[in-house]
Amino acid sequence: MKPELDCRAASEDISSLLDGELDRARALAVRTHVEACPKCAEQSRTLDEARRAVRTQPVGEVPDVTAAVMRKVQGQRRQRGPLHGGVGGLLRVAGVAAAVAALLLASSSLIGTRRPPASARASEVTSGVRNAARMLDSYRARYEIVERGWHDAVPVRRFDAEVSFSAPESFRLTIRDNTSYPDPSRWPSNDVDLIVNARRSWIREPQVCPEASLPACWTGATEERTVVARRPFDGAAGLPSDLIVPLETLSTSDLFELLGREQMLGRSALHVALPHRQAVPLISALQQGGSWREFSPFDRVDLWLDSETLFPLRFDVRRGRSAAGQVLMSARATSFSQPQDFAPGTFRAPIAALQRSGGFEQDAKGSFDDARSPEFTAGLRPYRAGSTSAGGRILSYARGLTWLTMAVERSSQPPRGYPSTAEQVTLDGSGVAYYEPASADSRRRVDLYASRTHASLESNLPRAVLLRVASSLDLVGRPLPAGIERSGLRVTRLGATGLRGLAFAESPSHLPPGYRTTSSFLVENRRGHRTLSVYYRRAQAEYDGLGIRTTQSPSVRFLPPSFEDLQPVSVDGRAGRWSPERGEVEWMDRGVYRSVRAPSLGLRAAVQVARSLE
Amino acid sequence: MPEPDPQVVRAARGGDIGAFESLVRFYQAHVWRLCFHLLHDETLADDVTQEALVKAYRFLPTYRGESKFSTWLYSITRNCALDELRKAGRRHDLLTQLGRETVPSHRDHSVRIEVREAIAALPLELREAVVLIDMFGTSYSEAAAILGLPLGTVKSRVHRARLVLARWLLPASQGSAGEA
Repeated sequence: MKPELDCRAASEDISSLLDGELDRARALAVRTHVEACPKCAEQSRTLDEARRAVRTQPVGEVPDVTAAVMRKVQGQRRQRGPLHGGVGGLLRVAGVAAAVAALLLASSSLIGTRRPPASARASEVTSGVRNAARMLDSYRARYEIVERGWHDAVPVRRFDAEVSFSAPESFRLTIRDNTSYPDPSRWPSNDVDLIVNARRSWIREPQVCPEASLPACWTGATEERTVVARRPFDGAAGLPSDLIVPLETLSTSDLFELLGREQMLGRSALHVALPHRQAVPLISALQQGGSWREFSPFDRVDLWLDSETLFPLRFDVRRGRSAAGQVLMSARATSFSQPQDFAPGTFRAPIAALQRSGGFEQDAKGSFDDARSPEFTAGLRPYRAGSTSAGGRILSYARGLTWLTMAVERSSQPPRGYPSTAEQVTLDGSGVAYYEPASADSRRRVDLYASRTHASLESNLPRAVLLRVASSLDLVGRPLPAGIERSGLRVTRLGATGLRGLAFAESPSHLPPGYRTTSSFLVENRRGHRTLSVYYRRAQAEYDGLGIRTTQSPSVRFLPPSFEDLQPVSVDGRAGRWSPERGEVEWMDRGVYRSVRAPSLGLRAAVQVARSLE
Repeated sequence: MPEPDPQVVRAARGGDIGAFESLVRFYQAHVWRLCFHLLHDETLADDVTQEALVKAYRFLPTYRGESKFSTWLYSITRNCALDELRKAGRRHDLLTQLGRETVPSHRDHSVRIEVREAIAALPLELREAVVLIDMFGTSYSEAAAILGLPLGTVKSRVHRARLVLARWLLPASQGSAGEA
């Protein structure tokens, strides 16, 4: 049949035909042409395929913004006051609405929004806290804390704590000690005050002396310290942000266990369990100053998050790994709210006699048009910019509790030393960089050593996002020299090939979940003695600053003598020893010294890694 | 395209805050998706979704029911998203950047991820047409109203968008995508 339309005219209407958007006569004409014309029939099939591919795209989850919108709308109507009433008399909740915005677990019937799954996945909790942290502008919560086993003479201590936050970096933490001490005049009241704002941070705490020497060592003095000219987010790893939303504590979904949904303090809560080593940012948020009991990395932490807002409602630290272990510390929220305003002076940090300067001079008008600023900032907004006393530049970006800083300094020489644990990563378009997961002192970091410039990024964003930020810099990072001389030792960074070239080197075939090789170093002394260290670390955080490290040396002939309290262990039939203090298992293997150090993982995990060396 | 109960819209127009809240619940996911496809940034989509819904509340008294409520709301949403792109000076950057992006080949990735990436790589004017018509299921005339364009322009843009998508998504040697 001869086509009535030419191909060009028909082609333009094929999409409309597929969509049923042609009138009957035109549809007939186009269909007739397409049926008779192999080329147009082919195009029709192709277009239909593309159309179907788009139409059958799965609909992903989207955040529930109802509460945030309604809060703004209410604000427009000038109707002040709480949106949510009291709950069960146990927990006062006011104005939590805005936080609900980003949250995973909306409670009402919504079209395709995130809904509380019967069994929420840990990864959803992780993405939920990330969203909540981004969206939070203000927060205030009060906690009651009970701590057991701090001192033999004081078996139980009780505290009230209040935390306030105004985005992006104003914090106030007040801890009041309500403990009945045997003789109050001889024991320090563990009252701690911390105030942080964009310019300064200030802390007041009892002058700490070793618990074992209490009460004799207590002088009755308190101490105040102020940091002036504070750099953006300076010391942020120590701020009590995880008490607000446990962003860092729950940064990796494979390291905590989601036990389900429970009623807690009259609210629907998600129950999460994790070892203390993973919950350091949350627990230490309360322990900003003063004197507190210590926990083992393996002690169990149970955390209940409000399923609507993901604010921590309660957390308990238990002795040992078991859910039945004695509760060593318990913190329960007694109220939380999102105030529109704080009382004047809430975040005013006093200037104490004891001062340190952060050496930061803030631009009167922050300039973020710097050619070196990242093109991609993960949705964080320009916040503070300025210069350091050493002549460097610092740019910062923030949103809610989420932040990013970039320090840039001119340097003509490559650094003499660098953290051996840093992982060398290849960035998409920005050369080579060095990455480190969060530690007790800093959040995730990326360092780029470009020509005459050293850029250092730090952030509580996840690794992948931070690396994307680094990739968007208009800098090309160069690899640091593979070998450096340091104190008569030659230190060489090795890649996989270099490792394989070492006959004495063995690698573990078993690592705990999440661990992977991040860096390897060969250290040689002047006499040719060689020691190989390989680091295995998780992507987001290693709060002990190490992770797992293997050390191997054919130059060490026997296990070095030690005065530590060592336990004998067997590694594949070979006699070895375990140092609980260092968290390290050591043994001799056919004339080669080998050790596995894993301070936060314990004997069993370290020996498992040791046995898997091959 | 879903439409709310006209009574709810009327009540919201009359200042019933509860009725407006139910409209927000009803539409927020759609508004967010539209924002996301225009902005390609989840965080910006969060912001612009809120902004669009708050703006809808403010302009609600001006809605006279001459078009579908969804058409009216998506039109506000699109304007907010374009404002955001302009405000941040991102529009040019985004388009340049997307123009540079190479769309991964069919063999390397699952079709679903590829489709999303391919849509993201379309120029904005083609993308918004195909998103409204294929993802939101609007008619050509509704899309024309939302985009403020003549019907013929929408028709040709959605056609061009599909031609580009087909080129990126489907193996050159065969006509069908062979989607799993």
